[in-house]
Amino acid sequence: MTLFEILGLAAGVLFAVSAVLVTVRMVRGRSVLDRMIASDVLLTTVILVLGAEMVINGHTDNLVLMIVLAAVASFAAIAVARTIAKQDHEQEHDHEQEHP
Amino acid sequence: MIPSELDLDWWLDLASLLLILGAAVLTLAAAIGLLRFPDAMARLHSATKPQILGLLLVIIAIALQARSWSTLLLLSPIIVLQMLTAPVAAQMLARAAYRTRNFVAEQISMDELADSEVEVRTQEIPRVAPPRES
Repeated sequence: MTLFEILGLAAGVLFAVSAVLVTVRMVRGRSVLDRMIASDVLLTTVILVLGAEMVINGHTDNLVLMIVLAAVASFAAIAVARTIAKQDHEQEHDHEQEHP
Repeated sequence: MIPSELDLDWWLDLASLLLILGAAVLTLAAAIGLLRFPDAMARLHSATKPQILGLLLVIIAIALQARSWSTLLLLSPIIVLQMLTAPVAAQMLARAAYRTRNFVAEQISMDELADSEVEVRTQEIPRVAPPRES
C-alpha cells in the first residue's frame, strides 16, 4: 500500500467510527434535542465524506451535492427546535393553569 | 532546492490528504463529545467542530486537489452557506435546550437569560387572552 492509500483508509475508518458513535447517540437520545443534534452531526459527516471521497478518488462530481446539503442542513434543526419550544411552553402553561 | 512539477503535485496531494485526515479527527472528536457530554448544550458545543472547521479543512483539501478556478467557484458557496446557516440552527437548538431545561445548571457559569425568561412568560399571556377589539 502506498502512503496515500494508507492516509485515505485512515480517514475513512475515522469517519465510519464517528458515524457509528453519532448513531449510538441518536438511538439512546434521552431527548428529542439530543437526537436532533446527533442527526445534524451525521449530516455534516455525510458532507465531509462526500468531499473526502472526491479528494481520495481525484474527481469533482459531488460538488453540487455538497452545496445543496450545506444549504438545507439547518432546516431540520430549526424546525425541530421551534416545535420543541412551543410544545414545552404550552405544557408549562397548562400545568400552571391546573395548579395556580 | 526548487521542487520539480511532479514533486509539487505529490506534496499538494499529500497536504490535501492530511487535511482530510484532520477533518476526520475533528468528526471523531465531535462524535465522542456527543457520547460523553452530559447535556444538550455541551453536545451542541462539540457538534459545531466539524460543521465549520472540518468543512473548511475539506474545502481546502478539495481546492488543493483540483487546482482549478471553476472548482473554487463551486467550493465557495458551500462554506458561505454553512457559515450562514450553522449558527442559526445552533442558536435555535440552544434556545430550545434552555426552554426545556435540557442543561446541567451547576456547569453554567453565567445565565444571562435568567431574567428574560420571565419576560417571555408575561409576553405569552396576551395570546390566550380574548382578541383585541379593533
